[in-house]
Amino acid sequence: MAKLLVCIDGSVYADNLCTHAAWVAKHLNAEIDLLHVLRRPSDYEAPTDHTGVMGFEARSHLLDELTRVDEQRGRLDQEKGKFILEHSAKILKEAGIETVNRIHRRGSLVETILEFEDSVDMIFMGKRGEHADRGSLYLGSNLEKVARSIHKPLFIISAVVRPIKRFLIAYDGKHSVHKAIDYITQQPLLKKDVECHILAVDRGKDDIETSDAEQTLRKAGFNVIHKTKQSQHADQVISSYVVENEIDLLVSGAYSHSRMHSLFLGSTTASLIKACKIPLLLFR
Amino acid sequence: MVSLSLSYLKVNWLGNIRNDVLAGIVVALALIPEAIAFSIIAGVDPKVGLYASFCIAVVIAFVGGRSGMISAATGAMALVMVSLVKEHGLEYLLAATILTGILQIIAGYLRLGSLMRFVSRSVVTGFVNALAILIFMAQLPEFKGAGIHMYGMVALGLAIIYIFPRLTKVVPSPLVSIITITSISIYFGMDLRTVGDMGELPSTFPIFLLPDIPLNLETLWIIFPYSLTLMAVGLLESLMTATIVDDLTDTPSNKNRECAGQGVANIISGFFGGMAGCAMIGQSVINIKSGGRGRLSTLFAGLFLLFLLLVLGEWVSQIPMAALVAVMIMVSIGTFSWSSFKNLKTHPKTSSMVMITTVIVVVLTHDLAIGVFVGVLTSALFFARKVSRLLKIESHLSEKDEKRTYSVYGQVFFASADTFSNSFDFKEVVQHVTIDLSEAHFWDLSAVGALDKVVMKFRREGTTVHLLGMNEVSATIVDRLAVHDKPDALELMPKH
Repeated sequence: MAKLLVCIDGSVYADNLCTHAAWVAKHLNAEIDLLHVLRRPSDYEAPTDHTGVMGFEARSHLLDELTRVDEQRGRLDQEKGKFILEHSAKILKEAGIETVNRIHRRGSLVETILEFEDSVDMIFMGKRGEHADRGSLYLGSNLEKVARSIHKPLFIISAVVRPIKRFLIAYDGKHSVHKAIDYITQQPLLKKDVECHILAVDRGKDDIETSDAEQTLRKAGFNVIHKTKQSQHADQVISSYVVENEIDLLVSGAYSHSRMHSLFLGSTTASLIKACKIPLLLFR
Repeated sequence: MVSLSLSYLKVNWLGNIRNDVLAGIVVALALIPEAIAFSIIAGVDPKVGLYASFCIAVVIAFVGGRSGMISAATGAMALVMVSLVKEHGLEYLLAATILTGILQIIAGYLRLGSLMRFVSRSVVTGFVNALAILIFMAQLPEFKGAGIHMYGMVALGLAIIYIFPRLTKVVPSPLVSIITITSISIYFGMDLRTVGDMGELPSTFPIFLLPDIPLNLETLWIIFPYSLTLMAVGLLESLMTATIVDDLTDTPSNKNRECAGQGVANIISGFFGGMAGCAMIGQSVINIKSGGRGRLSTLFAGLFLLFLLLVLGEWVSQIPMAALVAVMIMVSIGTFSWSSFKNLKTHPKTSSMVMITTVIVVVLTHDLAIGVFVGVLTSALFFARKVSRLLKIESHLSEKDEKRTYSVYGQVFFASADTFSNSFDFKEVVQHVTIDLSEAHFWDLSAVGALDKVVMKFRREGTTVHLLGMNEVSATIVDRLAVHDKPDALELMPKH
């Protein structure tokens, strides 16, 4: 039986995550692992005392103090985590998912996801975590780390929930996007009556060949609409295409460039996630 | 390898900017008096300790293995260099500092950091207490020949340090204390020794310089023993501090990277006119207490330290030594583990002995490395003695066939070999003796020798000896077999 890993926290995306995951689970006839990861004490801002004084037993007093603070936070977090898991499990059950496993862990989100990655078929995350600055344009720091580390399809949820009638494949000819096409044609996730768009953004080198991909998808019975555009800014072209054509799901390969490349030149994937207000399905 | 990625930057550098910067400032303010005081202990100009603190803090921020830990010029290291400076001068100290760094990098490469597991908790407590005592004792010469003013000012300084935080916790009270004492001294024109009297303060950024020494074997023989001790003391204090910071922050650190990092920091310090340093227990605790967690706080402490000196150098030179002495007394009080007095009653006697031995040896020799070495040795001996008690020999006589059977349970090694051989009754007249060794562990040649002796003795009495379970016995002489690192170690080990 297929299995989905749904990573939830107290953010606004949690309910949407459950709705989408339930939709996918029904199509794939999958069970769901609900994962909530507690923050470690070191993820919190530490209590501060700027007096610069070392009194008697300075070390053990400081240790006691820090332990006490962590303990209180830990208890609260545990309670909250339980509540979040219960709440999400309820949504999933109501949506008709029979098997929902609750997983409550402590540690780094990325490492925890990697631990469970092998046992699941798809991973669900919100665009931003509960603790990310909502006003900022930056992505949740965890999302990017997860997207770079895992090798399973990653479903990224946005604030919008609507049924998927049209999906767009952002085609760059790279290996990861072929993986995406294989997945779509072989798995029962997207039905044949969903409209399939392929958009290739050519950087002026005229080197992206889409006909194979189109063929594969047509053979699988999809109604394919295909476009090629010329631009240096793939992310902008794709995001405006999404808006113009009312695309409901964006399918893309992820992070084909090295970390170094992305650090200095930015990553198309990251800016796509930022720019598009719809859910994304990423393949590596 | 340092991986340059956004997540690395975030966790180590930018995850805690505001608190790291504030903590860095608090630490820098406390580093200045310490660096000056330790330079004076070592017998060099204050600028040597201050440059060292700047270089080490800045470099270790990048190359260290424990974020949130503060390294700079330290008392433990200063005490080691006293005679080198006295007999050969500053240039030799700089060369020794560079050599210390090289040795520390080698130690990091050889993963000597893992040897720390042989340093027991009692030795660590002893080290910390000895360090506190040495820092305190190093302040005493300042009182020599000083008038009542000196005592009064130190008392006032301490009072401000401990009482001021009750008024406000926004400003570091050691800073308030230093400023108050300095103002009073200047206003009343008191005749107190000042930092300026102790030697030169930094007036520029540190400059790259090769130590002015003859590059020959003779020089190496002079500096090598010092460098070796400095290496050991530096790594010991750094690794102990790293463990303390690990505990306080509940996060792990990379001890071998820390060893090599200390080395790099010392090499750079030596080339820029600084003395050797290491991690500081007191400052690291202050940093954590102030909310510092990232590498940024260490970096900022170093940068802010130099900034203060370059901008305020003239004022710094007017600080009376009384103010520094007060701060250093606070550091020694805060470093000392006062609960170890209380624990003398409750802890095992041997642990207390180890702790006290470590303290006494350090205070007598002024060398923390020797103290720790003796401490480790003492705890190893106590441990051997305790384990040697895990030996039991039972016997029963079967009168029908004139046979006595001895069953040996437990550990036979150098410390218990005598007990082993004395447990047999050679005066009893029996025809047959069986020694069942299948439940015994024979650890070394002393144990095997003792067994040989027992067998020979019985034979000479005309008794036939039958050994049971010899295969298991030879399997327990594990020196070269080293079963512990094999996956089936438990099955290989004969049962107890």
